[in-house]
Amino acid sequence: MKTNDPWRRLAGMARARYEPDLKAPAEMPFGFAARVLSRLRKPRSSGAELWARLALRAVPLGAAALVLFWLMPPAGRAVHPPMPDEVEQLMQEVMAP
Amino acid sequence: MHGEAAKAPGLAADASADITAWQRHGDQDAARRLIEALYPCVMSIIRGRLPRRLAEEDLAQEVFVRFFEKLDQYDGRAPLSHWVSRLAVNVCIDALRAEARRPELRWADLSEAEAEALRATVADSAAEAPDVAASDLTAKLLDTLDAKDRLVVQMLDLDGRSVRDVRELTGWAETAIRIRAFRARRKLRKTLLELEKER
Repeated sequence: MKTNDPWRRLAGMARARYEPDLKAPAEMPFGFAARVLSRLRKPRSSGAELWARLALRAVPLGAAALVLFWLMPPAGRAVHPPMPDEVEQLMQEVMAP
Repeated sequence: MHGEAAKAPGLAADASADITAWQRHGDQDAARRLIEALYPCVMSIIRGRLPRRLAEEDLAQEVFVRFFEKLDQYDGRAPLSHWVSRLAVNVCIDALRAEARRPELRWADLSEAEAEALRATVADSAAEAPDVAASDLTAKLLDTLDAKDRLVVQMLDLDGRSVRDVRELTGWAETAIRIRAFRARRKLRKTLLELEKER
């Protein structure tokens, strides 16, 4: 059948080459089934397993950070002299002659 | 689920027994028989539908790994071969997407023979064009399509399958297949004509 569509013409020409490929018997390569089964035996990690593994790996890291913060002197906090007790100050002012 | 599958009309009795043996007892021989029985069906989907740089065997392995992993989801309503071919189609789409080249095809990308095939195609002197060059040019054109469009066009225009066959193999609606084919062919025609103008 004649067609004005260049794609259909090209596909028609290419089909002659594709057909033998597609009709060739699909013989299973030697050891194919064994390779598939060996892949099945290897457990594939699911999303939940990945998160669990990640969380487990984070535990020692978190513990180390906690210890580090506990041992470190509080850098942000300025060391001020203790404030005199306000009540004591008031008593001194009242009692003073 | 395997109980239902075993009673399903779409499943040959021996395949059903093998599925049960694999699922209940992990019977390796049963699994081997299933792979052997389904291998031609899987290869008919994979073969000729992928860029040549992708290895057929690797993809076939991936299909069977998914097959065994998802076997408990098979409810037996569709024939086992259809269910497996849908898995194979999805593996092909994933592989094509992973490649995700979709380059813009330029005149300079064509070999001399491919350029001759293009000239013969556009000038409607098909008899002059060598099949090999036409096939190579077709492969390059298909590389410019989206993965699903590519599969639809290949099945319809190169394998000579009907829309109904494609529906059974992919599980997509017939209307969706027709629309996809229409858009993909329009894009291919446009690319062919633009290439010819570049000459």
